[in-house]
Amino acid sequence: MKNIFKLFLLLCLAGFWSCDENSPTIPCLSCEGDEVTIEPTDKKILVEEFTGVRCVNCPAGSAEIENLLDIHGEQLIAVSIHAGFFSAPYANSKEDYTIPEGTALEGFLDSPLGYPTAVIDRKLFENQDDRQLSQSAWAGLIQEEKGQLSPLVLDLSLNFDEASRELTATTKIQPAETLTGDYRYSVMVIESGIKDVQLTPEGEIDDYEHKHVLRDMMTPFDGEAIDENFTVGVVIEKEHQMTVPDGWNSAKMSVIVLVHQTGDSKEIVQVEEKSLAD
Amino acid sequence: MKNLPLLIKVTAILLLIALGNQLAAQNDQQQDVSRLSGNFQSTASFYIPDSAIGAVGQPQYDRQLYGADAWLQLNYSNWGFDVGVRFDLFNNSQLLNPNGSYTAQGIGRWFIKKQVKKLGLSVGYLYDQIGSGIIFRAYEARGLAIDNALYGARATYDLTPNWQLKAFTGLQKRQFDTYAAVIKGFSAEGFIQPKDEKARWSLAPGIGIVGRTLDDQTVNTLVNTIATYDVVDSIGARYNTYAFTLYNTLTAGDFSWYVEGAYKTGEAYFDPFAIKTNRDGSTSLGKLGFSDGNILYTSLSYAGNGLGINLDAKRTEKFTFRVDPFQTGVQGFMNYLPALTRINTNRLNAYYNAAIQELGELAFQADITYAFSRKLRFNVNVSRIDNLSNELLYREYHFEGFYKYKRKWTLSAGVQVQNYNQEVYEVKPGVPIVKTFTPFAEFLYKFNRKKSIRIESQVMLTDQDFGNWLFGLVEFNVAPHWSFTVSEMYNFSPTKRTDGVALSYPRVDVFYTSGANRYSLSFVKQVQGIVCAGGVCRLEPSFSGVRLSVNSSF
Repeated sequence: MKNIFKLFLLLCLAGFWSCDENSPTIPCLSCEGDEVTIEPTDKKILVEEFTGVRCVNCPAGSAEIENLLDIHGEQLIAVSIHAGFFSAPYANSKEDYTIPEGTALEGFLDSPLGYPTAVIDRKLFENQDDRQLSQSAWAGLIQEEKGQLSPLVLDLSLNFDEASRELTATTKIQPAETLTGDYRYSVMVIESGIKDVQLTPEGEIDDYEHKHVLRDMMTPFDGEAIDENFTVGVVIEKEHQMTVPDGWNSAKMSVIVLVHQTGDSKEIVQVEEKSLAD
Repeated sequence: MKNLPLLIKVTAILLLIALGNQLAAQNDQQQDVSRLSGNFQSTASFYIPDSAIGAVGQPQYDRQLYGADAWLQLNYSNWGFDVGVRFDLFNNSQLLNPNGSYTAQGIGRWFIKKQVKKLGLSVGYLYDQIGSGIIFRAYEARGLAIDNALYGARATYDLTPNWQLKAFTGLQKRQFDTYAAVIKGFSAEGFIQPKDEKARWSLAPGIGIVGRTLDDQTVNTLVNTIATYDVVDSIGARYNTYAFTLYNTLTAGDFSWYVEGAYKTGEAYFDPFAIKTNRDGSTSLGKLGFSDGNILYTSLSYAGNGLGINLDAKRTEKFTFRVDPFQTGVQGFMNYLPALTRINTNRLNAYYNAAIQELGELAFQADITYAFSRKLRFNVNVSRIDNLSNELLYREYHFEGFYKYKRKWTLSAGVQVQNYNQEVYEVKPGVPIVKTFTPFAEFLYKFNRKKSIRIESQVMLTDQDFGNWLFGLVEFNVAPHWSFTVSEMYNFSPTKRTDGVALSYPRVDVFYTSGANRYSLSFVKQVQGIVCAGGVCRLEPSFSGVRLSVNSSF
């Protein structure tokens, strides 16, 4: 018996000795007064948040998205997709924010296990089960995505006619290097500043501000095939048009274009956003 | 798993089996007997959309229409070796993610075990636990897609017939892959009995340590996450976390007393209810915290003279122990915290379940059974769970009586009263405590040695959540092969949650048993609810469709 406990004590001490590790140093990107330096990179990051007006925990996720946008500035682009069983509108909701493309994207980008959930650059990260990521992982993985160079430059220009409400999005895709493989191209239309019902930890709030809501897509949900080859010096131009419905506030609307891979890897190669008000 | 091609693994196991057979055949002096055993379990589901009960909007209802899960386990023993291999299949499965569709199949488990005198050696995918599992438990709960097998190696050493040391190291299984964190552990367990054979007491003490080392990728993600925090929320991060436990079972006469205390060193964990300060000064919910944790668990039982008493108590404080801090739901648990609530089997009595609160709870349970005679007995169960701020989480009072008339019929009846903090357990802010009053009864009548009928009914009365429920079931058995059941769960006097619409959930089952094989065909309308396996729970969506299942052991 004594020998057993001596042995055990020895192992305990060895265990505690192991606790004396070189712990990682934590920088502070969010400290007040600190200048947040954007890494010199061409690659922007897209975070696709899946949400719903009946999702009580989603406002916390949305707040975290805003915090991350504040930290990363223009390098991070966000879209909130209303989809899944939390997204059915209330009887007193002004609108139903679910759209077929959003529902299709939820299935396309792995169905979430819980909410809040988001997909970052449509990437399957190491140590993750699928593309849908819980709130706890967003900040760290977005930080890891920073600093990457993209082989594509997206030059997005918008033409919006207030009278006819015709919106034309023109994108010039300029390859910085020659690429092979299959790529697709998606165009999303989003709107912020929408005041409508949302379930929150404080209960149902009638004038909750919904931001970055996916309103429509000018392409199929999984994008349009890019038939042209990505060759250095050859600019590929894409143009899409739509009529913006009357109820949508063009001053709060943006267009997001993204070029992404096809097949098993759906990873985004480059993404760009432009406001209709610009 | 990912480092070894499937073919090599299967071939190696089959070769080992063949080698074992050959050696047994060649060596007449060997007394070992070759033994092959196994079991098969499968369920095929055919989905029929039903928007009235919310069985829509998922890939299975929209386009796949079919899903299946199956497991085949083979065990072979010979020449001192135990080997096993299991084939797992998930086709359009909802098990892993009730909102999604998971398709994968392959070798889900293999193991090799060998006893060399006092030394026991095991490699492969291993199930094991230390004590009651509070600091480490590698286990499988198929209904929740939990398979926390340790993919690694384990050695045991029998110091004496009553004392054993155990050490293990490996990675936790993640479907057909593994998590990256390295897990290691050690335990020493014994059994002490007085030499005087008349003495009626014994001790079964034990002690254990588990360590977990996070991989660089996870720590980088952790550091990058914390780096975005305001200085008031900033915390540290560590690669290594250790958990220690000390436990003992004292048996004295008709009494048995188990006590276990455990401590976990500090680590980062995600608290979805913690208030986080954002860069612009606003606040939101959910952030990583850093804390050590502890738990104290005890269970006292008595059995004798027709009386059985179990008294349990547990205090948990920040004892979340997962394979990495980014795992959510029921995935990535390294341990198992015992649930201190009654395991109810009746449909409505089991509708509201108290999931384990790993960040903090204070739980008590008393279960008393008294048999007046072979004909008549009573059971009383009381459980009470609060959080560490004395906020009510769960109360259950369960009274039940059983009466058996010769071998002709049996009647059991009782009442259950529950207070269920839906706001906490289902994260539904603002909803009131669900208060239920549920009378129930079950009657079994045997027509003759072959034919019997069982009738079961419960009425749940509540003003909250879905409102009142009625459940009825009739089961007709023709031994030894057939069993037919028809049941209905009906939401009479519904609340505004269903917009006043009364929902109906009928179910019809046919079971056929032939020896060790059991087949079932079911038409199912299943209500959305919390599904638990010993306190580990998750929300399960509604189901509408037909299920076909086959179970076999050999």
